[in-house]
Amino acid sequence: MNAINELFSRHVSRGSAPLGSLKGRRLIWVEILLSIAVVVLPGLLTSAYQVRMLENIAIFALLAIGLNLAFGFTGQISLGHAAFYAVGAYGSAILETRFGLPAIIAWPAAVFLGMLLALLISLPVMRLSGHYLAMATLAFGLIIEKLLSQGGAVTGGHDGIIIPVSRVMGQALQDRFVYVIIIVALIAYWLLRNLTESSVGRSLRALRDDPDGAASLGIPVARYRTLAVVVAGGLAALAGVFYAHVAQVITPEVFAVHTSIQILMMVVIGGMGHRLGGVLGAIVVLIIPELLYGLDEYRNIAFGALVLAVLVFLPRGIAGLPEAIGSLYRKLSSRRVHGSDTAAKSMTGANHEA
Amino acid sequence: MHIRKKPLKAIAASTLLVLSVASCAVAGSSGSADSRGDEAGDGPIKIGYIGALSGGSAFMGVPGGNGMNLAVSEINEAGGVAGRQLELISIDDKADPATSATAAQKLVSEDRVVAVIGGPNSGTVKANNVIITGAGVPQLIAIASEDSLIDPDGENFGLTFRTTENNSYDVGAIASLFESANYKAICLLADTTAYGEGGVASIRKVFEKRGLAIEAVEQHPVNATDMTAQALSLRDAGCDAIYLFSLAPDGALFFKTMQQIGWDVPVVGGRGLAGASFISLGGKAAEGLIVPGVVDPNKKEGAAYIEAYDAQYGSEGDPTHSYSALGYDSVMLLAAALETTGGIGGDELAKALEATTLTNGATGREGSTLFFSAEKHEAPSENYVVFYELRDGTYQFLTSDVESGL
Amino acid sequence: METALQLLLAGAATGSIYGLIALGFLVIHHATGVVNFAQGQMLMVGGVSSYIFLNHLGISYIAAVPMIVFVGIVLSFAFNHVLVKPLVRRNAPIYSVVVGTIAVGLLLEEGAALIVGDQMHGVPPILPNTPIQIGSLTVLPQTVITVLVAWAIVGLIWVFFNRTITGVSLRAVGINRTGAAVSGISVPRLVAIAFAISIVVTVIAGMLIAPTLGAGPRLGFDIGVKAFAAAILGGFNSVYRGMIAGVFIGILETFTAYYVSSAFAPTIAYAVLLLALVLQPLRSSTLRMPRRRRKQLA
Repeated sequence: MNAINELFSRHVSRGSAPLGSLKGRRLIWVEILLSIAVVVLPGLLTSAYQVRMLENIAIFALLAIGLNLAFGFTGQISLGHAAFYAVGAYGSAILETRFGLPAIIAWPAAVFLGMLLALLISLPVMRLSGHYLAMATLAFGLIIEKLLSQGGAVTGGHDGIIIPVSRVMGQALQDRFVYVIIIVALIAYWLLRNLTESSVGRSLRALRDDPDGAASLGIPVARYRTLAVVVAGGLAALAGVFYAHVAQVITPEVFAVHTSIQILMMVVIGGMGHRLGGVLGAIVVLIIPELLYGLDEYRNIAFGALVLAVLVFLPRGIAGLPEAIGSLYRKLSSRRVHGSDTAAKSMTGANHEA
Repeated sequence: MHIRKKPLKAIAASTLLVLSVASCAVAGSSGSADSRGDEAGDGPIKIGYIGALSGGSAFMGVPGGNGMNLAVSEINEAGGVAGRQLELISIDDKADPATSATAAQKLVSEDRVVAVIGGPNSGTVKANNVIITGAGVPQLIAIASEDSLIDPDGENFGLTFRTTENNSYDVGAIASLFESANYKAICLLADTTAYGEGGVASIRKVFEKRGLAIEAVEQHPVNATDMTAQALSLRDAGCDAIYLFSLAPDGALFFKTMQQIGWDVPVVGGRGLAGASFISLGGKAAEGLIVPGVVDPNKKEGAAYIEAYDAQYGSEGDPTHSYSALGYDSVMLLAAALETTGGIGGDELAKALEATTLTNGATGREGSTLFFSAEKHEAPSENYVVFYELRDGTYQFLTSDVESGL
Repeated sequence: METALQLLLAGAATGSIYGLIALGFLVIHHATGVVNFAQGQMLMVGGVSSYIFLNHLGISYIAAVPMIVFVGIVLSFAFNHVLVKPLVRRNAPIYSVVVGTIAVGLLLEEGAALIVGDQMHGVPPILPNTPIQIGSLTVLPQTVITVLVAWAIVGLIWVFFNRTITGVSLRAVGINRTGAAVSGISVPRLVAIAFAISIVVTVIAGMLIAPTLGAGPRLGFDIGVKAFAAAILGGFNSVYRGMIAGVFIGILETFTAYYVSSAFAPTIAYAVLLLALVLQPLRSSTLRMPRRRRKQLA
């Protein structure tokens, strides 16, 4: 399928780089260097706490990248993304603890379950949009959350499930797990980056902004929407598998609505529909509370205000910051030019009238 | 379609791959084998506290922290522990398990605490216990009371201890209360959260052991908007006493609903109702509620504690003083054990705790003690619990004359 | 029989609150096409303001009511100017507005938490809680007042939309913005009025429910979800149909809790919502031009 080819394409179309083709080529190098730096990073960290933070960021980056694809690029808002996150975590945990399956089977199975659930839920809500879709996904998330806590022996109810990590993963993998998560997140980033910079990506953006117009151009709207949601669901489930094996214990509260909203905010703050949006959003949302450690009570208000500010002033998110600064600069400098022009014009105008 | 190949990009991609495989192979365990606390040194002895300092459980977590701080300042004024000052590092986990786990990681690997005191929420304690004990640091749970947190067959038992009595203990005491009042039809109302469900399980287990029948059980979602159905069901079942295992807003709503349908029976509540929030929400309708507590004003140390705490923090935040006193005694227990080990944590501290007895704690009925042993990691001895009643807008001490056992 | 009546009354009371909030949703949506995901938090603002005025400042209800209405009006102005206008001006896509309202909701929650603390507080009822006898039923005065006031408000709003020039103009704005502007209607003024009505109605609902449920920053989200279900069920076009749908959901909840299972009742509400949403496109589509005759508010 064309889309799959594009996932693995090594061709980056010039026109899609926001600041022009030359800058686009330079940007790729920056991204490559950053990727290498991120892989090397765990070796430089000094404490398990920092490693844990890095793991959290990588996990949420996976979640945000997926949601950015489904929402930022394809326009399918979701207030229930944590449901797929939960399926990955609980799926792998249940398969390992209740059915005794090894990780090599349980993990892909959990990801597959996430994609399956995404497919199933996308069918009935496909025709919804805007606030209706938002509400439907919210209700979906709430129902999944409820099922998890009332799931009896299967899901462990409120007690959740304890994952016997040493048995399932082995010590060698456990020690190097941070590398696994980071590399997988990077792979996901690059694959999706290629996808969104390709013609499929442009099709997605077209159908986000004008579904009818896109359909008239022959873009398979329903199929691409489903594809985006299924990929997002799979990535979220993968993030869930990682979380379960990092935290070693999972409870329903971790996958509540506020997590879904947190992921959505990451996409918005990072930059909806921008290839860096997911990653930037995850980093900003997770790091800022740590930096504001002294101002505990004001943290949440600052967070909400940040989201609002981004929406009103920086609609393209932090990823769009260079562009926004650029256009602001241009606007300011052109006003100076215009100013002298109009002064001259009014003088000549006055002369004419006189 | 590939219009142009980019060999540079291919080289970059493969460099990346090689580098990552290399770092994986070379890197050993990143940051495992963390602190078992600083070895005996000169600096302060650090202990950590992770609890809900904001949000719906803050009415337990904040007083708990206050009690701990009170103990720490008293100890430091008297010269500290093993000649060193004691330092308490508190982190707010907002009752969220993921936040709690990250906070635990920070405490054990960055702040290098020798012990962590656990807060009021069982869900978060479960999440952070894994991290704390995994790093070889003992955890002393101050307030969270779900039975399963201390599991003799569990992996983390060796390093996990608890100051407070657990749910079953409270239930046993309340069963004694019911027995002495000779009720015929005892009914149970609980919410569907971890707190409520844990309560229901404990209550069923203990009542069965004592031969007490439960006439009817009703549940409700947390933060319910209406309890009429539950109240009517219970009234239909002919209950003459209610065991209410919900949180403050729902408990208050239940009392108002009872008033609305014109039904009035004695109600005994779980410890989750013993906060200022419930008094404010329940108002006049909730008068007469009986709850378990751990501070006995007839005990010398209990009375002294009430005075000291009220002087520093006021008496409104913790009307029964249970949460703060549990925090206080937790620090006292740790201090006693740390005195023995000279400030060293880890397994040594766990062994020291197992040999620790506190006879003059702020908590517990007159005559009870807090003590651990190799098999007993729950501190309270027999006859630890007392009872309070909501009267005239505050919780007043009711009685200590109720049997409660192990 | 008596039980059923008692359940009916309780369900009607909570349901009336859902209906009032649904009314709030509806008015904003009709005038601007925006669905305010922070509507539940507006309810919370009403409750928390009641707590501050009645408990902290010791003002009586008679004085507190107009003050709370004033708070609602101020809030609506802020909401309109800070969030909606800038986004509409930039022609932002609808999901930007959705996310924006969610962010406002978060801000309101955290702001309230900073002011009154992150816990629930009790609020005194309008009349003391001595139960009234109606036939074989006993009922608290607050419950009766809630239902009466809620329906009175709905009645007033209906009159507004059908018998006053401003109300009719507002309906015109919702049907065809450009046409209304061309006819000399000041669209921005009416949008501001729509916001004010929506938020004031919701804030009053918050004040009505506070003595029963308490007042706290985290209240409102759950109720908002159910109110949205009521709005959709009632069809986003009708003042009193939203109210009836709200009462229906409230009664469904109480009856399910009694006759079926007390633990699963809220899940049923969410399932109803999901179902209503999924079946919604069968009734109307957001992508099609709204048929003029249906866009009435009566």
